[in-house]
Amino acid sequence: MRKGIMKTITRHSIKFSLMAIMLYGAGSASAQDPARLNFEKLNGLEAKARDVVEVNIDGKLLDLAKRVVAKVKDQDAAKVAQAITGLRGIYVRVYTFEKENEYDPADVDQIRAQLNAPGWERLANVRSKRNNQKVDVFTMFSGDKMDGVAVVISESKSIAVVNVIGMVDIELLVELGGKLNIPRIDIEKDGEPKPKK
Amino acid sequence: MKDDYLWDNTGKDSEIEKIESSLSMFRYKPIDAPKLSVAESEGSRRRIWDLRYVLVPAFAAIVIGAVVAGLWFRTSSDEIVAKIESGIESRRPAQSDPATGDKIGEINPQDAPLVSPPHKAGGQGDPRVAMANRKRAIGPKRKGVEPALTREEKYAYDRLMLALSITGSKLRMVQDKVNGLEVEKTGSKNER
Repeated sequence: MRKGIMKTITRHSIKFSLMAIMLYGAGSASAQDPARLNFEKLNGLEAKARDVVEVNIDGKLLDLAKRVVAKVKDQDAAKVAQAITGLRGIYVRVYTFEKENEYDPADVDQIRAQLNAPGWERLANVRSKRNNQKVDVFTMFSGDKMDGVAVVISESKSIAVVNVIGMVDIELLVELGGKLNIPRIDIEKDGEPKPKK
Repeated sequence: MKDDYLWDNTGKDSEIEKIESSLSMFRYKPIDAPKLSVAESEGSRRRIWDLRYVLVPAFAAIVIGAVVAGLWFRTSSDEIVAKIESGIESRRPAQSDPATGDKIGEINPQDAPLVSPPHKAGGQGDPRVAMANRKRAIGPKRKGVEPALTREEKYAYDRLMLALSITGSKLRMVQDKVNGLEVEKTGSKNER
């Protein structure tokens, strides 16, 4: 009888451990933000573009940056600190090409296709025949809470994709857009005394 | 019939011997008794330490424990880091410089968090590199020198500002586009 009980315990132990591993794996998979876009298709544009801007800020780097912004005694920085309180990540890709139509529009359309997934809502859609410009702005909300923003701008000579994860004050960002000056911050260099102000 | 032969097999009895020979195929053949284990012979009072029944539950317990620990570390690591850093900040001495109204960075480089400049945009580097960078950033202490941001902090700040600047400018562009279209529409309506 004891053998039977031990066999049952062994069998259930194996089942529980397998379930725990599967649940952990599922949890890890779902831990990736739903508002996060996949920029893999754009990696091939790097070789073709004249100028490339790629910025990925999340996790510890973002936390560090937030702390620095909070400490900077600058009017704009204070507004920025207020705007990015709920920010979880920000990903930017900007490609500028020498000539027109040097990239495959299908690559950008693949990014736009991700924004057709449930959860994303179109905020703005602008099409202009001038420079073959297409502008799309999408937002994702879970209830009343903003989960993300995506901006996709494609022209004949440039592509810009911005993916913001988390809550961000869009109006404030628009107000500060192009006006954000990176203030001079002195860094101690090895062996060099810092000049007194 | 003599009874001695039947009793102790002594003497001779032809009739009995005849019967015995005819029934010899049914004779009892004694065999050795089966060897019983000590536990069985003692009525299985002792516990059976079958290795199989110990290892598998132990392994399952280790796996479940590892999964729970992983989940706990994931959820609490950020809280722990925030608590440590808030503790570090509370220990920093208060500094004030009335001469510069826009003083930046009351950060002691010795207490800089473990974040090293990433190899590529947005990544995180080796903690040993972070330690080396931190030591380089500290330098010799001099009297009256204000502490400034570390390289890691400046890098993070610059990257964030760049990303926000680009985001803001693109959003502004969209807003201008939309506003421009609205102006065109109202203009065409007024003409009619």
